[in-house]
Amino acid sequence: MTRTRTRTWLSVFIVFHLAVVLLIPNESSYLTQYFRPLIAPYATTLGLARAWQFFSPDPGPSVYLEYIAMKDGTKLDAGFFPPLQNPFWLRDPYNRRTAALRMTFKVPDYVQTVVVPYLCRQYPAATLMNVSLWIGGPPSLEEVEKGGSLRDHSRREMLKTDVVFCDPAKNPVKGAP
Amino acid sequence: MRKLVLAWNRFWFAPVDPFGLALFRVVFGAGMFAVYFVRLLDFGFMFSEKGILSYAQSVKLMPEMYRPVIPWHWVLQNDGVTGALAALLLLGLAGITVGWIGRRGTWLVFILHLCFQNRNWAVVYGPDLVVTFWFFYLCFARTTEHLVWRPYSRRGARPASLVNHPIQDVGTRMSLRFFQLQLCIIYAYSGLEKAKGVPWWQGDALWITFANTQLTTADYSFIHHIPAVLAVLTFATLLWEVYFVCLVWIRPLRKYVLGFGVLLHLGIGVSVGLGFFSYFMIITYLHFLDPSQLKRGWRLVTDRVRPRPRTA
Repeated sequence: MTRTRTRTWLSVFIVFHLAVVLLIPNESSYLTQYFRPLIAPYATTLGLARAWQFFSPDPGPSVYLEYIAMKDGTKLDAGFFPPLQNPFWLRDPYNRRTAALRMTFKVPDYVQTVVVPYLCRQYPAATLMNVSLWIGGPPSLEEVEKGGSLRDHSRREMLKTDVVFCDPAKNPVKGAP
Repeated sequence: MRKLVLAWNRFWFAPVDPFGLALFRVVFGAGMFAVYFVRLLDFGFMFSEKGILSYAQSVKLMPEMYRPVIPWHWVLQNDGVTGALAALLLLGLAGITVGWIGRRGTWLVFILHLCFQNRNWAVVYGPDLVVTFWFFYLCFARTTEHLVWRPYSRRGARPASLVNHPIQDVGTRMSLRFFQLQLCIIYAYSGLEKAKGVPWWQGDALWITFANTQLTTADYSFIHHIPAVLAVLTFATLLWEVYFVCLVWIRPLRKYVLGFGVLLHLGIGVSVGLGFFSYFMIITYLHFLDPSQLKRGWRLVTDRVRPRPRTA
């Protein structure tokens, strides 16, 4: 009797859990929205609220933030975040920096509130950052056949450019940096 | 109805030989140890207050879809505590790997993992997504029946018997089924999401991946000489992901389905630099293999690495 009861409760849990992991990745579906109040607390608390979109619907472009660190109108340094080439011995730290910048498409004002303050901390003397967000689509097969290079960044497209002060009081964006 | 209940009970609660799960525990624990070790080498960027995301920013800006009801990461508010708990997490992962930490302890290490995962949600990518699921499912399993490192025991980590020796433990069986079904869900979603994209239909999605220098580990421009191969591989990847959920359950096809997966993930690992992700996907295939085969494989490996007694 006890075994039957245990199995019944475990079966309820199994059905619930499977429903969660089936519904949560399809966030925009009617069913997910309908059951969201029931399933979201469980999924978020256990870190299961994830979508499975590896290289989909397309592999996606490269994303870079070009920055110029300035102090009183003088250029201190310039670079890219993440760097154009992996500077680390292992690949993982580079992947994480790329992932960190890609969050700009999910969190509003992310560049101003997260990335620029981080860059300001790397250049304590800087008073402002001149930043441009770029995305770059790779060349087509035909272009490479004609001699085009994969490292040719002329195809990149600027999404936005901004000047952000390292002193938060001077910025129009609330909370930045 | 009775048949349905019996089938359900057999699928979810029948006795199971835990050797496959124990082997998974070893390789998973070692992989997680490596992941966190590498992450901690980058501690300043990842978790410190001077890194990409301070604790206050992490709480304030966390997207709604990740925001947990229990804010696990509240313990990681300063660098000292974060460093100490990171060391504890590494110890816990080592303990899981060698089998010194059982089911209850695994839950605690899993919660520590959630703390770090939530502390810096901005740098989470592929491998982190899957390991949280694997970690959660491992918490249900009794895996310390096999492959426990006992440095002072003569028996060591060698399985006692090569034949299957099932144990009656509902958590262990449930864990195995969750692993299998979750892998199917991941591939099915990945395949269906890819099917929405034009490049996957046109057959140039792999080219777009290999031509993206931010993703790749080397210059792969030479592959423009084999466009037809790229197109075939693109379609094969798409079809394999979509149909994995059906094909992997057909026993005669299983080794081919998993073999393709191993090659695919090795390719991703080498060319796109997603080594950890590939590793954590491939090791999950252990759950589709017969424990007696795994025992033979393990014995073969351990017999080779074990020093043989000298003969006079």
